[in-house]
Amino acid sequence: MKHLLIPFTFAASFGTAAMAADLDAVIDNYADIAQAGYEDSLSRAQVLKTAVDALVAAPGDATLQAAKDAWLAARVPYQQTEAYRFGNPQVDAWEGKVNAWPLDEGLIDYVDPLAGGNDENPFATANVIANPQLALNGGTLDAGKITPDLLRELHELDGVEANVAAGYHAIEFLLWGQDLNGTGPGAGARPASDYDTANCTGGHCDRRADYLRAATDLLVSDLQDAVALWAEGGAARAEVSEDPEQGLVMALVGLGSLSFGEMAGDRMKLGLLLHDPEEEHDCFSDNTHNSHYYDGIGIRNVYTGRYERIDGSVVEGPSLQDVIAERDPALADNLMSDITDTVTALSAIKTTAEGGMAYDQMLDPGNHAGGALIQTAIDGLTAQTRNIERAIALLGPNGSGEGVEFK
Amino acid sequence: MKRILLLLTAVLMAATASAQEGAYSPDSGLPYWAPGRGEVDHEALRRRALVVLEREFGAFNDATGHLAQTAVAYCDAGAPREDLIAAFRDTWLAWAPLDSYHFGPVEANAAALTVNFWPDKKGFVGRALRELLAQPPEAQRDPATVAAGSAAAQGLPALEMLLYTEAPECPAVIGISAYLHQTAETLYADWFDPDGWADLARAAGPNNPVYLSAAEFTKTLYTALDFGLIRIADQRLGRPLGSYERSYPQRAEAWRSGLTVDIIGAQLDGIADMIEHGFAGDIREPDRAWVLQVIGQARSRMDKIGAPIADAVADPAHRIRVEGLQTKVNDIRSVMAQDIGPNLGVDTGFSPADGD
Repeated sequence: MKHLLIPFTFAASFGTAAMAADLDAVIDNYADIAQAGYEDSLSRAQVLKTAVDALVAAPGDATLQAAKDAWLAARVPYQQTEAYRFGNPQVDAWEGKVNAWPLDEGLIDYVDPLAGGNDENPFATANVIANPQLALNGGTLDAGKITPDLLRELHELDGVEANVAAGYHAIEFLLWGQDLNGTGPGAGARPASDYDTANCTGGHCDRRADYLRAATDLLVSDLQDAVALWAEGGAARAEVSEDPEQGLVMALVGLGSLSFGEMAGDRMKLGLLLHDPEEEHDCFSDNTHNSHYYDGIGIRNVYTGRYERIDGSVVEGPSLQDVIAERDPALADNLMSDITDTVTALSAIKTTAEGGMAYDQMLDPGNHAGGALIQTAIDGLTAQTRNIERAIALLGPNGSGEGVEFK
Repeated sequence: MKRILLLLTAVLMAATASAQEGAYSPDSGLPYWAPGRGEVDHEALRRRALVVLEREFGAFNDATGHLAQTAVAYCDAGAPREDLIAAFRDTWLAWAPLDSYHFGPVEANAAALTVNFWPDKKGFVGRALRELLAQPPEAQRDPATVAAGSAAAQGLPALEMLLYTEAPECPAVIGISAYLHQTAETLYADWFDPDGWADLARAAGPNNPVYLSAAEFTKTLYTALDFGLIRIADQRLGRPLGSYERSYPQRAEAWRSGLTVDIIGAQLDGIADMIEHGFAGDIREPDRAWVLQVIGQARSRMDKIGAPIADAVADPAHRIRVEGLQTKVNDIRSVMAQDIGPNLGVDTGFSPADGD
């Protein structure tokens, strides 16, 4: 599905005016759900910012817990928007700012000396919080004042993807700290005193607080950009609306790429094979079960054209499912049933994690039941990808999906 | 332009004539179908493609078997180290063409990761190997120990680290090689034993759990070749190339053993093999000849780099040749997308390259 630019494009090739109108409505609803999802993500990030300010103003167990809760709540709408990532180049280009992963967290702050190094990354233990000056390719990088601009500069420093200086996972690390429990129980256990300038643990508490606030501010402003991409006149909305047929294919490409290459592959299979909790998506907070689950829900939202917002209201309208059902009812049903199976499998992981067996414990090579739960979800994601491919072949211009440009 | 059109017309007419005169051979797919006939014999294509795949998976199985025996001979009976190095090289080059086919048994067994854990962005191979080497010697030589551990210590990069660093080779090299051979046997059996993936592909049809038609298997193969080309251009070449200001020599695959370029060559050969002997006459002769010619051009650019990839990317004079190779590999993708896909009536599906 990674296409090179081919020097010709297909004109819209089928459909009456009435059908074209229906497709427009499907695309409008697709974009409306995106806009609502990013608005919800933004409003939860603003709540997180308030909680972070409270933590920094009065560090303590209660304010730290409140900030963690706000972070967990912020993930719920955001993960559902991941269904928009891979099919929409505007989103894909933006996404690394907020959800880059995995990270060499030693770039940001102190880490356990045995659990932070990376031969491929000279900055894996650079520890910006402790070091106002960083040596960089013979020169120095001034990190004296920690600002959103500095974090942008540090992001993917030296071309290394694992140098994640900002986004949800950087904030997660600053709130929870490293999870040093391996595949045993327990998440990261950063003490609130890491932010207490009067009784500072971990060193440089003032700079750590600056870092946390800068990262949260940056998240808020990046999410404002995402909302703008999908608002009326936004670039991402314009791109899917321009040719609704191509928009449909872009939507399906987003679902398939997230299902297969990203979730089933990078995020789930790899951790299972390495038995390495470093490879779980929300590794500091042990929130991986929710991240995977809400990705699955996000896929279902896009397919069924229905999104339940954080305030309980619902955005809904004509859907991809409706378009597919018009042309191949059996395929529409099969894909719905695949997506339902996957959500069920992801839900089983979530329930089990909430019952006390965290996702990283499921990666223990001796935990066959946990491994099987993850494998079932991987199998479901792989199976739905096949029917998503068929839907693309069905809906693409000339019914072949040919000539679609993305990536 | 007019001359080209005339020539093309002549070719088309000749093609039509030969399709009418000569009996069509399903084995070779020749003479090729007349253009405009609008049909590809996906069942014949599948039959030929499975022959190619069976040969390649068989070769990997044989190479790993030999490697496992050589490791024992080296560690236990003092056989020459060159034999082990040669067997290691042969195994990696036998795997290279299979790197394109990340579906079916390779996916089910996660073999792309266990056989060749690369790229290793966070030092997993070294960490996993340290854990294996901390085990008692008897455990290190037992493939069951390797099977129970991290995927990063189950394949070729782990063997390479043993053979090309100061790490003690024996007896871990025995355990990893034996496990690699088990993996190769499993892959071959899962593909070609009765009721294996080959039979599943042969049974393509409305009730098949994976392939609703023979054309869907063709699409899978076509996607796989495109994926192989992405792996070469974006990862095998792109990762070490980085940018002009900053290259990453140690991101080259197999930089320690210097096999980087040979692996790329073997993967390109595998892609050419599938086009020539698998797709064969079900793509039109001029298109097939052209894509094979472009692959040959990539091959010759590769031969002219004149230095190991890891060194070449960091040296301005050689770097430009690596970039030239990368451009040519992307050209192959374009030719495939313009000529081969439409010829077969398929487009690429999803592949592991769609993640990030």
